[in-house]
Amino acid sequence: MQQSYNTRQLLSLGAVIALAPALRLFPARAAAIAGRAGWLTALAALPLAVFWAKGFSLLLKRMQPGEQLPDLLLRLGGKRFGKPALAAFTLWCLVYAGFVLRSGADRLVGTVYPGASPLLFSQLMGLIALAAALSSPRTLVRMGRMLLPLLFGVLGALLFCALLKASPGNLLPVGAESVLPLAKALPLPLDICAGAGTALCFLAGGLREKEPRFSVLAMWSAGICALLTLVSAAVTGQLGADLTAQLARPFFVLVRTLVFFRTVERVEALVVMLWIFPDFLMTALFLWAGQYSLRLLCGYHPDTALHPRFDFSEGRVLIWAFGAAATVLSLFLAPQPAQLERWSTLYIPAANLGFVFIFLPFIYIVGRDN
Amino acid sequence: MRKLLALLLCAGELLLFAGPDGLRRNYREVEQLQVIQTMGLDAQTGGVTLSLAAAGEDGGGVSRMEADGVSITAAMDRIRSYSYEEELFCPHIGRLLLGEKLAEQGIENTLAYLSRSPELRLDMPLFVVKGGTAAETVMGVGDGDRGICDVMRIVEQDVKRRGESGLTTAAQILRDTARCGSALICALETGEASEKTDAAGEEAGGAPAGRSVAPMGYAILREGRLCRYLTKEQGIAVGFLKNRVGRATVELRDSYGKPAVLEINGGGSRIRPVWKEGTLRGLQIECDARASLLELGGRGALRGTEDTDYLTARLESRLAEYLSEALKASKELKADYLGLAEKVERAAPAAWQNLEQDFVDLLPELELEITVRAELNQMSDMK
Repeated sequence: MQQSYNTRQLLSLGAVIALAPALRLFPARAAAIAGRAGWLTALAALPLAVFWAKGFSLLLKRMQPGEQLPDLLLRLGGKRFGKPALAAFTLWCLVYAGFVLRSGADRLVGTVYPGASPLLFSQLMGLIALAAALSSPRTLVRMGRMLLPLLFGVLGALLFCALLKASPGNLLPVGAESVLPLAKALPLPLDICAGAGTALCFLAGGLREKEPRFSVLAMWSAGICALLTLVSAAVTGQLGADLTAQLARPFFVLVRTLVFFRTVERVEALVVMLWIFPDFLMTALFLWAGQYSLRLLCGYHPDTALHPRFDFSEGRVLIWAFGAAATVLSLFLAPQPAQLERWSTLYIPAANLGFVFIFLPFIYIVGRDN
Repeated sequence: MRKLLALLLCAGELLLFAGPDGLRRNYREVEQLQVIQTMGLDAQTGGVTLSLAAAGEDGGGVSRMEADGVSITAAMDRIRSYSYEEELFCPHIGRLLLGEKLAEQGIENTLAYLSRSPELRLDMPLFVVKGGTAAETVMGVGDGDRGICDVMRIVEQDVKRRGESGLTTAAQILRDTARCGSALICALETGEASEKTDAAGEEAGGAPAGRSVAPMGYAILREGRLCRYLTKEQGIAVGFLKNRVGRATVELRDSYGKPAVLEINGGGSRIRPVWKEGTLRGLQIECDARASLLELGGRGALRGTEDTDYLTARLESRLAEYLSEALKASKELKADYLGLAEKVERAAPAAWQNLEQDFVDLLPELELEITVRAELNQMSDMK
């Protein structure tokens, strides 16, 4: 069976997984840092996102046919940096997968299941993501492609209704005094855009084409920035910057207040449930990349072929171990809301940006010099 | 065998770590739900009084509940504990009534509760019960078949149509308080219902005449505390200043001293800041109003352009009076509940950035120039 996919499918997966941090993190943080001008942050970050697209396309050019990102890291890092880079990448995938499980469970508890234990959601999602990680990455990519119209359709309808009721006074005027706060908020959209985009390179080895062209990646970045702008404008336009900044999940508060055609209301449970898909895909993607990297680190030769789930050859037992480790980590990671907020707004974005703009360029330069 | 073992391990792990009632806690049988639609809150010594009401059902009475507690949650727990209903379902609460005393003491805690609650929504309209308590209103309004929920639905539709005092949601109040330091909230007044049951009817088992509730202008909240009411008439000015003009009636005297009733059916305002040497000196407020003649005492028809001009001039003068009163209250209280700062900022963003004083501190000193232009339009068959 051919285990490949095209660039369009891969970028669709990227757009779907970008939706998780786009709604979890962006509107509230942008409003907290840049106030009324927060909704312009993503547009201001567009040149930086295009810069990322250029760098990312250069990195992907170094990828050889059939090679995955961990293989590339090992090859570019050489004898000196290869294995430490792989170990760092494995650890990053483990922490990120655990965090997505934890934050997804927190969102479900906070919006739809008050009083329920987040442990149940973390574990269920961990199990389903493990099943996906045991499968071929092509399944994930195709699922992203299938989910994109559904999620964007729902999001489009929500944004349309929200923007109709938005108050221009909550968004304008924006003057020169907003330039500095906007500059301070630039890492937020960059984290989401470059983070989701770079996660795609975990699966770039399976592309039918040689690699995504710079122009395609730049267009994708522009699309994500436009989406972030619309989401932020809808939320801030309705709730105002001050209130948006105070809320933990302003987008879902906004959804709770929407009434469609004076008849349909309280659709937040449906929307929150739909947003399980980006979480699931992101967790599965990081589990797949992490287990691949771990197996490579342990001296096995992982591949992207579809194997029976209980085939433990070539270190495949490590897939189970990695999935279990991520799930267990999610049970102990940031148990208090304040700690989770810190992880969500500080540690994870900083690590993400560090991975994209320090770690990967460093490995690229090392590989080029070698 | 390995698959079965894996499944058993997963199930065991789920039960061990998550507990069996993680989801069941949020499961509810629809038949057992009592859907609460109206909530009332009052301040009392050392806590609050919470009142809840569900809409009347066909063939059934109206369900109303009340309890005291040190907090809203404690009062809610008490209501739930001592209720005949199996499950009180609050996510469909559509309005919150606040007692005057609670509004005077401040509604920050109430707004914080609404923001935190996973059940309640921030877009629900809030009301202050003028000169009364929310509990009296929630428990006392209505007759045997209709309760506060039914009456409030009509009130809300009426308020939206008339525009003299728009509905203000919790989100709007939070936003306006954060931005301008003050906000408006729709005021209600209770009174005897128009429906009367005579003594014979009551003896025959009919319900006694009940109480009802009607919108009565706005309450001004400064830093979350009620500080003054605006009358229904001043509420018309608010509609103009916020460009939310609905239908409202104005009673005047015509040139013969007879009563005339005009209905305002459109209009708006433009607010221009007046700057002098970089300092905000005043505001120019230009209003346009469109109205139609509803009632003309004695004669029934206008006799010429002089009559029309006279009525138009009277309307302009009356509206200018309302506008002046609403703005005067804003200046006296140093409360920008009309969102004037926002309009000034939008008109001159650069000059706004250079303002040395807070807008509310400048407010009492601002010179106001109010211009009203009205026109009468033909809305009926009679000239």
